[in-house]
Amino acid sequence: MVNAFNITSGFNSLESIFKIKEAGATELYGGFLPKELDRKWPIAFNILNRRGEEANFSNWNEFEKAVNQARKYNLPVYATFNGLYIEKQYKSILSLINEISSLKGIKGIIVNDISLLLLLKEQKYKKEIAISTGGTTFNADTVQFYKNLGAKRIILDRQLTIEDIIKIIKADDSLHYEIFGFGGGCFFIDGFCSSFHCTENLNYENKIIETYNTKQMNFGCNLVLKNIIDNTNYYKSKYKLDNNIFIKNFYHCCNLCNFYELKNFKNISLKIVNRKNPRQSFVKVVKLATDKLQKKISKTEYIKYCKKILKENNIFECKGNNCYYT
Amino acid sequence: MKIEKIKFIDNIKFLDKYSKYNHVYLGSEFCEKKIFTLKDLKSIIAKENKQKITLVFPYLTQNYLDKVKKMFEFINLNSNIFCEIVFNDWGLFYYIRNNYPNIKLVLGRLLTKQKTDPISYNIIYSKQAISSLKSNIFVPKKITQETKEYFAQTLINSKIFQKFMIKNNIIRVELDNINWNMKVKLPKQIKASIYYPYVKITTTRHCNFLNMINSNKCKKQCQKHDIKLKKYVVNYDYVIKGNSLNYKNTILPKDEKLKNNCIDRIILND
Repeated sequence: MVNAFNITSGFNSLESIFKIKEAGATELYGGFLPKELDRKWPIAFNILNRRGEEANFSNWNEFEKAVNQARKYNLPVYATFNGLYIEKQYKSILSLINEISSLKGIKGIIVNDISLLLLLKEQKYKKEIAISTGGTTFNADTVQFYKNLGAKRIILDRQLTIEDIIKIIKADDSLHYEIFGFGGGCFFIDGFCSSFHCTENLNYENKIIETYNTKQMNFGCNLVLKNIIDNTNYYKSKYKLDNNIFIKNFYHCCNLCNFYELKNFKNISLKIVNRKNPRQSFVKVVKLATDKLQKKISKTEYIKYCKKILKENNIFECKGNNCYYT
Repeated sequence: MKIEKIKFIDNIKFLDKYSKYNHVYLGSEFCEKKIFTLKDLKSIIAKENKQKITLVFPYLTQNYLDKVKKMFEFINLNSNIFCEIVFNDWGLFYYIRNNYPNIKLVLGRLLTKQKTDPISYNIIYSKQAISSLKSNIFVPKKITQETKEYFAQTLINSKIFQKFMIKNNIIRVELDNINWNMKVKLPKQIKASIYYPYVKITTTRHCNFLNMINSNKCKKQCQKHDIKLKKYVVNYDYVIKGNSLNYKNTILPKDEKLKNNCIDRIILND
């Protein structure tokens, strides 16, 4: 029986493609940023796309080779252009989109900047446009807004309940939807978050040191969360709060159980957030979970199975508190 | 160009308290549970004090968007009072534009897409200190001019987006008072507002965790108090206000600088 779900994984090298395919991916997404653009707008700041350092290709030949290889494996590739841009950048971004889209293995691009969408519509862009989670799609009317701008695929926000997701998909089944399957937990709403992110790695005397300033931490959001965690007792006493579960609950990265409710839809891709060092195990557990849904199984049995495969694949021991949004 | 000051209130019960303002903002930018009801709007119309009111809407899940849609017939009929709609959700924009083309729209702070995290300041101006980690000395890279320009601007400066705004009756954009230089250039049909003193950084639907509440049910914690975070690593005042994270920036640019950035309105959000 053919699995109804597509499984979409990030990739960052030719070598990673085979492993990800073997683990069960059916689609890929990744980024290419030439060095001359990186020099102006360093990828460490996630300006041109949100994949961060070491998650993008910077050499055109390597990227082309990887996309061709993916095509041989029948893995369509989406290129990420999910940054937020300013006027000065659009010319370079459009030129890069056109160059990348000329590759046969590229199925489309992932976008969320409204001006870029307007420009792509104006130039009658031919390949598929997918709206990034940065597009903050929380309802079916937002889907229509993006459809009107040329979108064929919508990546839904992480912070939707399964009921919200089902309502959106049922409202228009002519589009393809992507929901977060595994990885890349984010405490805040990605597309509304302006927390400073710096994903720079410096290779200093063969030792990797993270970020522009280790004292400031690499993500602004982590700084705030760490503040809350380290000072929970102070806040609890000052504001008479009652939380004892915060620390265990701020990392939301798994959606396996929810696939059960989505098993009858035919237009869903499950996104695996793989940036640098793509994890096959993430793809594998999503594949195992969705395969299980091809046979008749009760929800209780299915959830038990999901917990088992998470543990067996050394990802984590599920205690029911790593869910994306419930 | 005169710069007006307008009070932002999140609950109809405060309207009388701020009756001296002839124009207020009412609503929520971040939380759909805090939206006023149609009954609230009707009670405003029944009042003798005819303040102009800009209604503010957050991002909306389908259930709440469907509830909100039911208010628009009334809002449209009373546009002399409900003079503008601030939207932070493209779905709400799409609905209003298709059904009420005459309603004046304002692009909310969540959609103007400024970079606002105050930590960025240290990076943009290369203020971060050389630091050591274990045995290594870490020297931060210099920031390029292009990156500095990037942090000062957003898509609202782009020509194609400005055309889109004019075509769709978006007459204003809402901005944060970031702690570094901003550069806003708008056509004369579009003006900008700046929020003071709270600058939004981010928002979440995991509100109970952010507010350290041991329950998924909304306890309306935000109506009791904000949570002022302790100074931690960096010297900025972070404040949790409901489901949003903000920092307090008490330094407002001089009028001339505001005017140069097309700003003719200050929204008091304290």
